[in-house]
Amino acid sequence: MSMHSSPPSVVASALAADRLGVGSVAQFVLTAATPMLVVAGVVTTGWAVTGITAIPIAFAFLAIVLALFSIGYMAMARRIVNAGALYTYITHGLGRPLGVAAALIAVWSYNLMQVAAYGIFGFLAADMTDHKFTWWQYALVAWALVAVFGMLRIDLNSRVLAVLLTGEIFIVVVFAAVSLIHPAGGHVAFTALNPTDLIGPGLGAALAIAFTGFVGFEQAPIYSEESRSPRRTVPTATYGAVALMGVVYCGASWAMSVTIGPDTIVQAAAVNGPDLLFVAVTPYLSSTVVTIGHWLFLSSVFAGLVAYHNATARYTYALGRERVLPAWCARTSLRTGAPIGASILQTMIGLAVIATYAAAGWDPLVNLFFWLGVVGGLGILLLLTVASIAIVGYFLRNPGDGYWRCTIAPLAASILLTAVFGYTLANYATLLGVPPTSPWRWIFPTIHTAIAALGVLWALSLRATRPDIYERIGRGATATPDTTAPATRTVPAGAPR
Amino acid sequence: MGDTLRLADDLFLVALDEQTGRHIVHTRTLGVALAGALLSELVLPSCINVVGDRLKRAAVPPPDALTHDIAETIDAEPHHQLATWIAFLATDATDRIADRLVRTRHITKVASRARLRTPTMTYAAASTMGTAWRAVRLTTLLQAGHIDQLQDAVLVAICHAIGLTGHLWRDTRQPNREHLDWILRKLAETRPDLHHLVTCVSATAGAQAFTPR
Repeated sequence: MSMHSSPPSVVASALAADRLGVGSVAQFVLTAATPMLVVAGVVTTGWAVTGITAIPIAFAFLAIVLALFSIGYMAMARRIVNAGALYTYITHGLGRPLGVAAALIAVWSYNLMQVAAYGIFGFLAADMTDHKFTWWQYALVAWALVAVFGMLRIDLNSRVLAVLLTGEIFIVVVFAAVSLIHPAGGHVAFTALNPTDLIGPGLGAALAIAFTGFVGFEQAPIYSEESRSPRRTVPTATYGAVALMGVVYCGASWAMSVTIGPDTIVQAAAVNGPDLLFVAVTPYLSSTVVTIGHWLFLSSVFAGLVAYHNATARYTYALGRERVLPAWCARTSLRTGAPIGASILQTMIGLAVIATYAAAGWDPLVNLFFWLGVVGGLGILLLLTVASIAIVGYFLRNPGDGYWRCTIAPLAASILLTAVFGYTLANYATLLGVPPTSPWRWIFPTIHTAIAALGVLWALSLRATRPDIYERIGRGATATPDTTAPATRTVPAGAPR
Repeated sequence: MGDTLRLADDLFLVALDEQTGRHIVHTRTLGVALAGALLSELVLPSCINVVGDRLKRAAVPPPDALTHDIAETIDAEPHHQLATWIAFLATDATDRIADRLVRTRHITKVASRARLRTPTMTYAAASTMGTAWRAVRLTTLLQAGHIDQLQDAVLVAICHAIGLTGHLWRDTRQPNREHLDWILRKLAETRPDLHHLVTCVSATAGAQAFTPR
């Protein structure tokens, strides 16, 4: 045993000072998850549209499934330090064609979730101001602000998001506590937590709604390279965020059902919509507190708009650097370092959607927020399901890091997620709140399938025509756009097919 | 003022807006690029060698105090990868190169502090020719197809890696992209070690746009 300890690393010390800790990574993850939007917006709209009361217990079930998924996910993150996360892991586990398919699904799904939030933002703002302006006018204001934030770069607004996140979680907890203290009929009902209520025609719909609330947790590995200790920081932040989300979502939504009454919660949600959370506590709290809650709700939605705009831009940017998407998608601003090409693309998509819904007169809450939100969530669920299978495949070829982490946990997660995905597809009409024979029950899944197929075909065409680009797929933002002439390259061992 | 500056000094001035005294490149991206330039100052005279993804100290003494300090650090911790060195040097590259330029009397540093805001640093050139001229010189050489000095080729490659060539060409009607492509190809063929270093700069700078803070 050496009597002398090695001197501290100058390099490690200097880099550690600039790195993210568990709290910062968890904050980024939770901001993307938008807790208050989930509790006040997703849950209430879910109750109203689907008529299923068991959404609270669905949160608890999914928290366990996602924690199980995270075990293999984190093991993969330790092996492949790449900000591309999901589609990168799918590439390394299942090959480049499926990787490109996953990347396009990711861009499509995050775009859907982002533009969906314009619907509820406009709805809320109009409601809070007694409809001085239309929902789409408020949505356009939010759109313009998001565009500016995107161009100015993310690090300008992460501190603002941290303050808002703390406030919204606090107010959700306060509302939940007040609701539990004032149960309907004088006794606390556990109906909404009854697991047997999940078993039935609405199982898939409940799970899909609940899953939408967790979207954002999968972005934690993006921060691996920026974290103090990737092996500890990212996993701790991920498990902590999933646990916190599970507890807050399950507890807060159950508390709402307690104070409103489980037998009347669906009807109350249909009548009050996202305002249900506030209607439930208004008799017991001062109007000031409720008003603060309303503004925090609106800010939560805005934070979600910014977070998903950035997530979409990052994916698009990474694909642009790999030249899977056109090179202009990888353009960055010299002054701000922001991925402006990708940011502008996402901004234009948002504008097109708002304009379309405004012109068509479609409902911003159900048809824009809820529909596109759950469809986007379905895409992310599909990605997680495929990623869980990819993780199994990767570690079968590259063993190590423990049998539980690399085989058992990801295998169990892939089985459970596949089941969740399957039930969701089976209950898609219920999820959207349309008749069982409605064509919408297959239109959206077909779009997902078509995008995935397009991704596979595009990857295969790249393999045939641009093998240099094909080889770089899966490297994410660290891929270097090569301006030299394509040359024969040696493919490293362990590289994706 | 002489034609030859150290590579990192040249890059510092090329990226400087002489009107505002601030760099036109984002702070973090500039740091990465200057870190690459500093390492290039050591690789070019073979003071250090790029061996795979590591750096190895060689027998040739570094050209100045700053690069000597960097070489000593590399020698003390040779296990780090190239990307780690770039990230490490990027943390204070801008300040250290600014200090070096101040010592050689190319610039002066001006600290300004607006009310309720954190202090910012701007840089005033000793003469306007010393700052604006560096960018003009590089653009002229690039347009004329006259870049034949390896140091200038590396400078162009790093500028391209961080997206600065677009800015250099902003007043040029027909940018000589063929010459740029030729430089990049030649660098890859004749000096794969420097090409790898520039690639690493590009990857690190690219990852910054991807990873939020």
